[in-house]
Amino acid sequence: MYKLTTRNEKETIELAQNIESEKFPNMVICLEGDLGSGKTIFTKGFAHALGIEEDITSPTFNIIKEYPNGELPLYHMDVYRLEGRVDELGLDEYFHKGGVVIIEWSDMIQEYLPDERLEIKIKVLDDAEDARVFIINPIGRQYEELCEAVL
Amino acid sequence: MKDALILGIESSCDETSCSIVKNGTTELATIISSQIDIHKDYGGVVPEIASREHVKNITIVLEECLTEAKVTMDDIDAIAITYGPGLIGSLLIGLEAAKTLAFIHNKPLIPVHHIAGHIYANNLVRPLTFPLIALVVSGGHTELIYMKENYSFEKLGGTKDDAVGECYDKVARVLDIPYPGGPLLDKMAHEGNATYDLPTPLNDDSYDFSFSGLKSAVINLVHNEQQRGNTIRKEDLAASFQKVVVDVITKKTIRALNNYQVKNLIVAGGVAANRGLRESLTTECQKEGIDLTFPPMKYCTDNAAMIATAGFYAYQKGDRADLSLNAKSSVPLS
Amino acid sequence: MKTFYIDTSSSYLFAGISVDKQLKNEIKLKLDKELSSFTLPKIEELFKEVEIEPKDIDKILVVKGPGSFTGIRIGVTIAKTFAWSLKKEITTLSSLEAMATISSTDYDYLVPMIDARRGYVYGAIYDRQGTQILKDQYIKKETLEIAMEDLPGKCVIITNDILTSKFPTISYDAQIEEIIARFENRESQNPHAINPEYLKLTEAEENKDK
Repeated sequence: MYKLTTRNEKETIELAQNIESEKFPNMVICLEGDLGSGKTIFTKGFAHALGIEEDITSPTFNIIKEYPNGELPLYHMDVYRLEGRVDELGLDEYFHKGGVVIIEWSDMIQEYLPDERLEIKIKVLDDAEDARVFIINPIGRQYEELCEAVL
Repeated sequence: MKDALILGIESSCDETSCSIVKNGTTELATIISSQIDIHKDYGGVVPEIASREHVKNITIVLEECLTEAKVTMDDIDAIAITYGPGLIGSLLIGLEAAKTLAFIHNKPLIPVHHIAGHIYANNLVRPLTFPLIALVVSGGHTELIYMKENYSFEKLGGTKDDAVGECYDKVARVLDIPYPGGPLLDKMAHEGNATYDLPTPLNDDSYDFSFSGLKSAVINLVHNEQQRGNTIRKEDLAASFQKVVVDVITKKTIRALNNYQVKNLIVAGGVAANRGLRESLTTECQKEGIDLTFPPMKYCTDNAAMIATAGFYAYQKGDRADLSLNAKSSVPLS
Repeated sequence: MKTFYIDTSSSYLFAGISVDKQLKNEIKLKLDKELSSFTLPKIEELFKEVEIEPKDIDKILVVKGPGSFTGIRIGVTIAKTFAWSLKKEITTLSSLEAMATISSTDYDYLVPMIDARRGYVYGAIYDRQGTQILKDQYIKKETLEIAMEDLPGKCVIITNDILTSKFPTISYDAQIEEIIARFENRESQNPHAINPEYLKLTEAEENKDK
């Protein structure tokens, strides 16, 4: 379990880029945090580091957005609208396509998440609007090694 | 020119929809999965029809459509299909069905961009005249498009983060309004006054939009007020939020119209129903002498009539796809 | 009877056309990510090469799962649209049944397996006559192997996935003529009712519907 604080958006983006530097195929990052906590900002930082030039726009409506042109393909998901019902989405297959999967509101689909993943909880501080606390929990050896290297 | 009957199929996100439109102007039948009463004819065959259950829906929706339009596949001249943007798993169902029909009935396959569909929905109300600017505002899209002539698109700008519909739903969530909160937020905005101070996002000369910062500002404001022990006047907050959104969209849209010297504005997409936006654009367009079209609600949400309509013009223009057409989760319009 | 067979439940496209149980043409292609683009063009070729038209087909046989979620949906959508639009008979079979259809074999028991990850497989057990001994299920590979040990005969695993086992393993090369001959007379269904069967992954999913 790792805990760190970022003071502003820029630092959140840097954190994302650091994590990206240790990326590997089929990496799964789970982002939990309230509305406005910075889940998409984190994803934008990660995507930029992957070399994706397109704007990373919110996947809230479309649920899954795919960006195939980075160093690794990026699959950006927001499962809020599913209300836990995974329906016909075939989420599982995305975990094995050789890209990086970032899931926002992952806590709503606990049972469908892979056994090994990087869990990141983002908390907003009461007294500092722009600051965020990241609680990072690597589950699985690859993720533990990533955290040791980066954090 | 001979009459052309286009079968449109749309499955880019939640809805499975089929429609038959003649000559891009006359709608013969449109079926949308969430609106269909399957129990009357299909009870027992399929236990339930839900949005997004595209494989279960597709042949039923196709059958209802052909039946209602009183035509058969022989009468159809071409098949128009949304190939993107959208949710790939959903797009694929409509796509494979469209390709199968094109193959077995030997019909041309017309690829249609989902946003082109939204724009051409307006053609079913009255023919589009060019040049025009299209403002597409929905749950998943926010874009300003310039059309110099029929079926020619140039994206001027769009959102860099949340679509305006998404932003409304998120702000509604902050105010504890259940999903989808957009329409209710619009209503509340009319019951309040814009007394809260919120920043205008991306207030520049570009045609781009950014709404996630505004969402954060609302969240911070609510948080701060709660910390100070003040009650949030929800109607006033809704009004303040709506004012910022409507103002920035109106401003940039009018600027585009002036810079491109265009006198026609089309608004498309689900958020076209927003009263605040309609009022603001109507006022400004009247001032500037701009012809403004809003589609009726049934054409604002995702449906295949818009695809069959846009498909007609694409068909006339000679746009064709072969059977290797693939779905794309994001694809530029031009 | 002219039958059209399609299986896209894995990374392969298996398809064929048979006339009175005789295979006239077939496709066996590893398409992976290209399944969504190239399935239909390849099917078009399949028909053209033997100068048979879609409307000449009497019955469609489609694999409804288990396997790749996306793959299954492609084949099922194509098959049901074809059947519905041209008013053709249609019936289904499972991918595991198809895999266990081998015309001749030295083994007593055939165990098709599809990797479902995390130590699980979609599997079943058939005897050499094609009688099902263990129904299609999502099961721990170890558990299935224990069941295999208890069988009074030689077992072989049939799979195109990488699954290590002490039992002999052969790859799945679809015997399309045999599959069509064995299953084409299965009772036909309403095309609207032809839908994927994924074999529920988790209890959680089943509980959600309760």
